[in-house]
Amino acid sequence: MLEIKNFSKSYKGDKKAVDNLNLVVEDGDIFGFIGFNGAGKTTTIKCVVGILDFEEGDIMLDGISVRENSIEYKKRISYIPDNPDIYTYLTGEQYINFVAGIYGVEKEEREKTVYNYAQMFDMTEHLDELIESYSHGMRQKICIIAALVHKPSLLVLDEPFVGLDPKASHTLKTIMKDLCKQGTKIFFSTHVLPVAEKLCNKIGIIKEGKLIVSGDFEEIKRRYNKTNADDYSLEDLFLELDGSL
Amino acid sequence: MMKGNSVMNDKFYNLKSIIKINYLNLFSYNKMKMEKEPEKQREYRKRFRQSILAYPILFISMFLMFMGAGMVMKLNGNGKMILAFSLTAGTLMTLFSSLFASSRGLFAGLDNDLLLSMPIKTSDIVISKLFLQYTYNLIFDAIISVAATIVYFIYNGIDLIVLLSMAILTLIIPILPVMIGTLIGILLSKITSKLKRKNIITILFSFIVLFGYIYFMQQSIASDDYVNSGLFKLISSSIITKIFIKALDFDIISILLVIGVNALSGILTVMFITKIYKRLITMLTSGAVTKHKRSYKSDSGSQTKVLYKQEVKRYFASPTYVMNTFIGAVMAIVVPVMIFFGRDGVGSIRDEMGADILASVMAPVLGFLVCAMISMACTTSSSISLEGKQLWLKKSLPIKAMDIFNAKILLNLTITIPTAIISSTLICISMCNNVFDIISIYLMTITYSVMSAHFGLYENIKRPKLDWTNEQEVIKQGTPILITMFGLTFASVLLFAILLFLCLELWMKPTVAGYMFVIIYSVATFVLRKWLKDKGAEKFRKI
Repeated sequence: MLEIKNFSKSYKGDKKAVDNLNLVVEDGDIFGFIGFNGAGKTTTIKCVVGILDFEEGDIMLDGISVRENSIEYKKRISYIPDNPDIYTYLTGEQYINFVAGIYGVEKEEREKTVYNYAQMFDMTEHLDELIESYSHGMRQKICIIAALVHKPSLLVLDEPFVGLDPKASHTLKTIMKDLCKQGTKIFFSTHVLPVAEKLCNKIGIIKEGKLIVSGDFEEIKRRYNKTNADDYSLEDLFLELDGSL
Repeated sequence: MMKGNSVMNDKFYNLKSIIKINYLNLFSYNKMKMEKEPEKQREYRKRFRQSILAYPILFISMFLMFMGAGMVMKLNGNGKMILAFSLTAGTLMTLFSSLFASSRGLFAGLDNDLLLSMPIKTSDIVISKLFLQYTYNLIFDAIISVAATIVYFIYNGIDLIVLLSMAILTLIIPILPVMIGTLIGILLSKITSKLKRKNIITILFSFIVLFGYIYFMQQSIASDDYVNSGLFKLISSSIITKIFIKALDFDIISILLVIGVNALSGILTVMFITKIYKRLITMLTSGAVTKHKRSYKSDSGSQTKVLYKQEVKRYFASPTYVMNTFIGAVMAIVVPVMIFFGRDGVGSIRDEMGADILASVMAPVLGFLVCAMISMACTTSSSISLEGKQLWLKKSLPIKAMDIFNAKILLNLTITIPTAIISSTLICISMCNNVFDIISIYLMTITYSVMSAHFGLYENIKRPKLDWTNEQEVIKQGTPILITMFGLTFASVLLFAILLFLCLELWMKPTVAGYMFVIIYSVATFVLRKWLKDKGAEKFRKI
């Protein structure tokens, strides 16, 4: 279980980028984290994966605190950033081997997993090519394969569908659902609200650093007395909460 | 199917993996090795060879410099001083180049997010990044040391103990200056993070350090008894040099002291940075966030003006970029300034040599020296690479490639033309007494400035490197910059020496060599400009 407790993060000055955030992602959950640009999504994600320091609260994964035992914590997670432009001078295979090596995945296990995901993403033929020659979508696929190679307990993705072709996007959604069935927790940010609505069993909407709504979408609909409105979508809710509708 | 490495039960596995990944990008080695497409592979191989070639050029320049200095030191009965001098000079160079580059390398790497999200000890990330800085500096220090050692052996005979001591010292001495430079850089980042114009303050601070360094250098050259003054005195009488000299005699205590101090500085710095690493990354990230809170200011003007303004902004946004290029401009002015203020000395030389000879021989040589320094101020040789992954933005604009090139050349000339004019004026006041000589000096320095700006851009278009993870990879270690800095200077030295020799052989005034130089470099500029307009623009589109 991922627990974000009383989490606050300020940048320069007193302005809080994220203010007293509390949320829980249970085993098997796919949690969609939604908000406008600059709402605090990426800041939260970067703190969840241990890239940024934060002042208040704590973030725990399966009872392990990111602050107190970050190495053990990070062994259980995988992070797919929104910008996959790293180590472009390596081949896809070299990059995956580097990541797998850091997570201590043995050769046989790594080969099996990578073969499987590379097939799913049509990347088998391209693994020995330089990442520099990849398209944005292919780079994203390599990042996804590398992130899945050690079978993480928590998968954190920042805008994962940007740049993926429809087939790869469908494959990723299938993988996310499969992982979720195996008990993996998935926490991801997105602006593609119909995807979040269909894919996630829980959503959280963040506005100006504050979580304004969180939970199961149907339950949220009930909370806002929208159960009778069949065509009431997550997009409607999002815009209503923002005051745009 | 992919080849996976077996994971070892190795405590240092992560550290070794990150270092290996970083090393694969040195000289674009991995691209050369792994590229499948024959045409691209040939291109990478060519780039690899050319980047390696820059080092022998640096070595030859150092060797020739030490040959002259070594002879003086031998005559003074202190042959080993050339070795100690090379070690101390290497230490100072490393300190200066690490001042901001190291801290930027630590905190501004594109791979920081990935590494920090993985189960890697922060200390491993810090060590790997500092190790890369150490390697960059070691390459330069090793070239200086090897050149000095060979010169020492030529004058004093081969000595195995000296060889062994030099090998140990060369490997060890970059550590301390890298650590000190990094810590100063961090301190400055911390202080300036709360200020609005932090890059300008960083650049100003750098220049205070630079001028202090030049002051000592100036002292050593301006004095008649240079062996007992300024930088030479500072270096030769400094505790560091004394320890180096003892260590060169294989004095175990001195060797252990050098190793101990360097190792301890490394350990303490790693421990300190590890403690504050994430806090600093967060602090620097927040700096980036606040930048976007500025209100929108509209910009107007012609395409070239807008592009030029953008180039200027890009330039001052990077203290590393400014420091690595502006140093050439400063150095180009230093020698004429010294001569200007030491005109009394010049006057006595004039009395001895005769005013005409002084003007016709010394003035073009000094003019050429200014040109050589201007090569170091070339901004164009890394300007394409610095666009990095954002290059598509410029390529997608509805503007001619030549307009983009012109903006980059203009930035270069903004720095080098005033430098050329100031230096030429000082040389002319100090040495020249007829219009023919005066025009020659101005033409030489200005023509060279224009040509080197074009040459730098030509080099960078031919050898761009957009996949850098840290901008100093292209600003400091980029092949185009090394070729422009050393290759162009070296070729120009040869050309000028030949022209001067021809003039003297044909009983012509040496100033004529200056005019011939101007003609040749004007033609070269014309050819380069033509290349940029046609092939350069085409190549730029394909990058």
